[in-house]
Amino acid sequence: MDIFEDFEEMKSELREKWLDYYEINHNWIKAARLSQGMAWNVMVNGNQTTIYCPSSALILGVVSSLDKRITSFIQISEKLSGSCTPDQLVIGLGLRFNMDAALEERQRKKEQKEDVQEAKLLTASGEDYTDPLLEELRREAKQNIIEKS
Amino acid sequence: MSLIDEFDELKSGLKEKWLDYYEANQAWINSTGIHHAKGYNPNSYFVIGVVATLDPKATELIYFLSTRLGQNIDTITQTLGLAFDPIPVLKAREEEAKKLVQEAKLLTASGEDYTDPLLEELRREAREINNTSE
Repeated sequence: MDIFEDFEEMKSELREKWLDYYEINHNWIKAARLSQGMAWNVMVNGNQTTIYCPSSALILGVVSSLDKRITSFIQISEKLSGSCTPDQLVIGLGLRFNMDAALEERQRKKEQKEDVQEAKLLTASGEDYTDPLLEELRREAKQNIIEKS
Repeated sequence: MSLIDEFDELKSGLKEKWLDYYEANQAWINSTGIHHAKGYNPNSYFVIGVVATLDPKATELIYFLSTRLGQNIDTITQTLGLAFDPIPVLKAREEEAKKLVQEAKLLTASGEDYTDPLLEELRREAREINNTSE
């Protein structure tokens, strides 16, 4: 695996870890007095859009405590392009995005997957499924036929 | 344990965890400007992000301070006793640790020549008895 793939893998793992953390901790992170830096104007598909995402220093504080690999990434970035600000690092790590929308999206995907799995389970068990009442009726019918003959 | 004791214990735990974290991560923290130079306090958002992750118990308190007491990120950092420049505090902690090691060494060193006064007394008495019996 090359460095680039390694980095992409780390990025997506970090994103999941950060989303997991945010899902449990959004209460205190979004608490009125901590929400400074939550609104960012970014260009999405050429349109100026406002997204909601915590302050970059807070994100760095959390993810660097959750995953130590981020430290080496930051050190490499420094070597390549000089010192980076927290905003630059957070963008470079792909961690500035609309948190609430991403959580909703993730939840939706998870539910879809669960629905599909449930449907699969139902179909799978359906093939061998035998209704006890149906079996009883079949047995009685067979007996009737035997008695009649 | 009283609520105040609990709070003090949480506070001193957070301080140690934050100092350990800072010690291990100082190089990149300094280069990003989160804490750029001696004499300044690090970015409060960063400090809170770190300690809340290292000790989940802190999050409840942070939430309370923010929503019930209307504290902002800087006053919360102050309330938790984390609004300080870690560089001199780390240095003091290091020197304290060195002193403790040295004291321990001194104790061990003197231990080799250490004589128990009671033991000495008993030895003296035994010698005297020996002398008189002769």
